[in-house]
Amino acid sequence: MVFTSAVFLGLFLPAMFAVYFLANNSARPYVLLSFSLLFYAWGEPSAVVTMVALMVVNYVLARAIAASGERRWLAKTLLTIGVAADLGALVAYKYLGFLAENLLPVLKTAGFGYEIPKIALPIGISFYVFQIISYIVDVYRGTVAVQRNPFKFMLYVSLFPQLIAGPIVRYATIAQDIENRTANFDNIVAGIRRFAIGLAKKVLVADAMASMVDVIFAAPVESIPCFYCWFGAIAYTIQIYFDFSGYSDMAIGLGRMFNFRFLENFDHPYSSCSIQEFWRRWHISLSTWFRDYLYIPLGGSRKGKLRTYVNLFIVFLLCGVWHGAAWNFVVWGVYHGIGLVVERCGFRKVVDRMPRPLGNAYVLLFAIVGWVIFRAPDMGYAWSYICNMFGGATAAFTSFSAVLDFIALDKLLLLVIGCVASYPVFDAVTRRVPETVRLACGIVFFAITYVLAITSAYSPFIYFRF
Amino acid sequence: MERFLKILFSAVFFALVALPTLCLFGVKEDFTSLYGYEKIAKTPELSLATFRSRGFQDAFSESYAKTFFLRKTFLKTAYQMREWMNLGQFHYGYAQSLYEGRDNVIFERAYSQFHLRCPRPGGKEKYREAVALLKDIDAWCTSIGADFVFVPVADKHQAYPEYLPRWHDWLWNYTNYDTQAELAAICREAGVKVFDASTYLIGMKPRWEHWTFAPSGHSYNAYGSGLIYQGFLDAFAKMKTVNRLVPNQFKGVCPKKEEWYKDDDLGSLLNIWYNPRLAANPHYEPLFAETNKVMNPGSAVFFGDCFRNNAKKICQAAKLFDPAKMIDCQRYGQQKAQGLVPYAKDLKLLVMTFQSFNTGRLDERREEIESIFKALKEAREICQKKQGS
Repeated sequence: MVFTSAVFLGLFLPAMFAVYFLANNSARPYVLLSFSLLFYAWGEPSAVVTMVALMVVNYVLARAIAASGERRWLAKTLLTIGVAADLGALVAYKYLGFLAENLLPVLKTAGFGYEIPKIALPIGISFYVFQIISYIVDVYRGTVAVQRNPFKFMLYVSLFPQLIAGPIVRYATIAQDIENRTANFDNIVAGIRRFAIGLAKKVLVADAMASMVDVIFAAPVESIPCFYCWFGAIAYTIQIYFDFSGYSDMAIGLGRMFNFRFLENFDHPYSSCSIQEFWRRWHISLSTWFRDYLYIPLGGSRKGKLRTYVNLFIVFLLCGVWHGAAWNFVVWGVYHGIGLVVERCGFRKVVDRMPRPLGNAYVLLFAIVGWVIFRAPDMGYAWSYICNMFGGATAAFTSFSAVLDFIALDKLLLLVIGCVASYPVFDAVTRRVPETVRLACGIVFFAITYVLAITSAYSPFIYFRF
Repeated sequence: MERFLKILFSAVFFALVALPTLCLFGVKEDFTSLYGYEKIAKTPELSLATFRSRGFQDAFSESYAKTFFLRKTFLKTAYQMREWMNLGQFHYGYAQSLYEGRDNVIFERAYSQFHLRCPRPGGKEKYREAVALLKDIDAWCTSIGADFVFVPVADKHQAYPEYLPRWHDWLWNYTNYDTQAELAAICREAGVKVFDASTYLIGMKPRWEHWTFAPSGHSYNAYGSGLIYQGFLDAFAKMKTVNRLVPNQFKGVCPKKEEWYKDDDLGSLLNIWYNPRLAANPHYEPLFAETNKVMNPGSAVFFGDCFRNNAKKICQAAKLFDPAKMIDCQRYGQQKAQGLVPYAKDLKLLVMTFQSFNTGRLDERREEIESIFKALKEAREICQKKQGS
């Protein structure tokens, strides 16, 4: 179920609110759990079994880890089993097909004749598996108390706002909220406002960009003039940010309405002046997950320069792989890994000495090229597209009137708004506006966005496929 | 004041999300003015099997998205806002099924998506597979003394590329390829009778006196259909079925107040756009030079894409066959043998039409063509059994 769909906006949400607020406080976690499972089952009825199975396994293991007391070897063994089960499920569903596709031709020449069946990817598996791993590791580390109520643990994993496209919520962040929540009017209003912002990001900006981006990236690469290549790449840069951060805003807003406080997932990443800073601002819940559960356990930056570079490279290679089972994502991860290693090798000092706009231009250029790799249907297309961007285009540019005809006035305006809103400009401006004016504008703005959203065609979020 | 606005904000939010649910309690809007641009959703059937297969969810979502309370009001508001933002032009990006080209000419998005994709490798192979099936149909027709003719026709994008929006220009030269001509050539190689109406019609474009498609239609109008009809007769003057025919000759069109067939089929989709200028279509009526000879006593069956209906309609107007002995198969795959029995008995002409579709689409259609063919054969067998008894 998509947050912008008519069924979600005009049926699931009101039904959920009605039942939740009519139920007494002790029944509310169960109402939320039931609706979350329904939310997931609506789109992936068969995948619920996988998710529930992983929840049961990890609940039991976490309890056993907590009960193992001083026997660290036992706790470690149980943790290893749990993480292996979680990653095993992720690999089986997400990467087996990709591995088979790439390895079987080689194995067949060596006489291996098995066919690996294609398995449908359960939606959101990358997100909830990472949540479960963070929980079980945190229980092992003793940084969170184990959840004894299995239904509350299931609620943590399956909570519908963040279930299928993040943010990846740590148990510690919402442990208190799971145990004890009371309805709070200010939180509901704050949640509605945040949800409205996310809805606007998705419906007004991301979807508008998508309609142009899809046309450009569906065209034969040799037919795309340089100008359109840049236009498509920039529009996609805006689209992916507004799509994903819009989803995160909606998730955070929905959580807030039910008195859950999720951490921020984006912090104006395109205003960064280095790639390192970009990753501190982009998909924060994922980058901090990799930092805490992979980079630091690998040794982080504590084991010398070379090891740091290797660790960084591994983390970003896996970050790329996490996004999807395709060579594009592998290359995209490696591309960012190399970028970070180069900065660590001394380029960061050069960047720091640059004027801030120049540093920002460097990051934007790096990110835009990266998004082309991310968006292109395959690596051959990506390479030709990037060549076109940097002067290799053979197709002739027609005219600016044709460009305007293609873009349409509203989208050109939205692209400009998107570019501006990618920087913390709006925040700075709105802080100076009185709260009453902001609220009044918010009401009108939400009504417009809601009408546009509920009447728009189905448009899946980009991050759903991960 | 702040408190009041907060209450108002939450009231607006809850009202907006709750109002659509009223449709579940029997509060309905009149959707008549929205029909025409989308199919009526299927009624969802809830069972364990349909839930597990997602059939229920998909059907319910589609049905709900099309029937929620206030949808008509919301849609009109949304399109008005978008049109206002776009200074009156409705655009590819947010039109669900249509977009506006130059001089207010309307195009259908599905065809645009086809034309904007590059040719797929292996296309010819797919065409050969399809033509092999057509050859079977041709052989069957010959065995029962009928003629089968395959008629690829141009779509509106191919007929009027000069009216496509300007942003099409940069792609058109790279992606516009003539699937009809390619398919026609393979048919000829295989010995299947084909009338390449696409090449024929576009070839005579400098001599067109009227629109062949209405500016806000995607189906051929009376003039376009008439030109193709005459070309077809000229091409098959020696064909065993047609040479027995004594058809009226197409002599052009005269203005008509109402639609001839579906001249304005995209116009009906415009009812939500507040754009009356886009629906201003000239309508024509076909004119024929009357002959005093009798019409063919046999039957004719037309199947294929939407042009099949125009083909039947113009043949009917020209009195090529008795109107009661002509049928256009409503949809691929849905034709029941029983319905074809009256036509299968003395079938003389079987026409299949085809507009531009990519090879993948042709692949999809294969199954449907097979089912029509099967229905026809069954109908013929039923006739023979009846004659035998």
